[in-house]
Amino acid sequence: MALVAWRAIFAETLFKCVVLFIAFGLLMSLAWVRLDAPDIALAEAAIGAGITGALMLDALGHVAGEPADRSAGDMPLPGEAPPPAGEPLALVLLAGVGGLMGLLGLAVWGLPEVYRGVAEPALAEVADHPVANAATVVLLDLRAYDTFLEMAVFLVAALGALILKARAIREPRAIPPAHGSEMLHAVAVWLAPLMVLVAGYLLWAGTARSGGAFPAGAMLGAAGVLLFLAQIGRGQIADTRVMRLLLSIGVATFLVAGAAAFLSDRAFLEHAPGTAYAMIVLIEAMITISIGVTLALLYGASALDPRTPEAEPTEERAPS
Amino acid sequence: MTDQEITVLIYAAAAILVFGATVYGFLVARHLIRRIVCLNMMGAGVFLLLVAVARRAPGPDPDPVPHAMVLTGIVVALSATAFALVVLRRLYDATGRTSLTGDDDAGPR
Repeated sequence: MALVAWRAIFAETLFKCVVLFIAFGLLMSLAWVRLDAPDIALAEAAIGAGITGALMLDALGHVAGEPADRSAGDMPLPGEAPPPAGEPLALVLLAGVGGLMGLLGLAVWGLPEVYRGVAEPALAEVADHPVANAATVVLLDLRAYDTFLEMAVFLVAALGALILKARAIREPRAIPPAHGSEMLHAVAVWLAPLMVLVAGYLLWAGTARSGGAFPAGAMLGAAGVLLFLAQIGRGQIADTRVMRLLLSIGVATFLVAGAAAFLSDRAFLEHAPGTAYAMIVLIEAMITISIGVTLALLYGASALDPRTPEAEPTEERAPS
Repeated sequence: MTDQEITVLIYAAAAILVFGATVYGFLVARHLIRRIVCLNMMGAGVFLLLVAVARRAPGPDPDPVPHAMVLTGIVVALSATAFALVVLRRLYDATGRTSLTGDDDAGPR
């Protein structure tokens, strides 16, 4: 894996670099499984390797100009090769990085023999919690505050992307070649509902087994991207009032839950006794929707050139 | 050493290697996409280290708190990446450049 990372860093073309990055993400998700972290593996495969990769490929396409045959992105890039090893700058850098790695290594090596764990007190609570998946409990009950802020970060990123997109220079550009591919369209029509179903399952499973809001949201987002590529229902994916509502529903639910807790004399985001299970499932469903929509939008915001409104009527397909 | 400890060590070592390599790559890379890729993999190295250490927890199950942190981290990294890519597009649209260095060794047009 380290080898793939190395090759990705020094790949001679950008395209190779991005593809190797995706491969790296997949290897990472294997590593997660080996480390008994199936939740993270799911999220990594969908988000790390899938969506980030798609975004990068797309940005690369944008920056490198029209399709690959203009070869801008395919040539060895000037100034891209690492400085030759003899250069003092490179040596200093290498020494610095080596020192950093050494420190990290010492830190790991010097860990106490017995692992006390940050979670010791928390684990006691996890054990008799109605929701059986430990990671879910931590995310949505014990450390709900973090998750709340994370959703806020996510929302801000999406808004930023949307704002920049709205202000982007309006130059006509070719849409990805998927345009008009019947095969893609057919596949998307069949696959998207299935993906939504899988997302629902992951969400539900998250309370007991591995799964949960993040993998589910990623799945939903991937379905959105697929629909996007196949250009189905572009009108719905566009930046509309409904979209904005869905975008913020996760944060909004958190806020309402927090406020309700305040009103009944509990700490922010502390669930009332007995309602924890219901609350968690509810919040999880809401943030799943938000994550899915945000991911699709992030892709959409950067993928499509900002000339959707005029194109809309022609994009409507026959109901299928 | 038990099997578990060896596993932890292997993954921690891999994490440190990835981290170090990406820090170096990040510093020498010029093209911004390359830098963003490096940043992402740097994050992955940190996540890997966290989860590898989480595996040291006693009992059959790893420590869920680092797991939750990593899940959160992945999503935050994604949003940051997406935002960075959008900014990069804007930079490219506005100036035609794909790196932040001077014009002399600017990336490809």
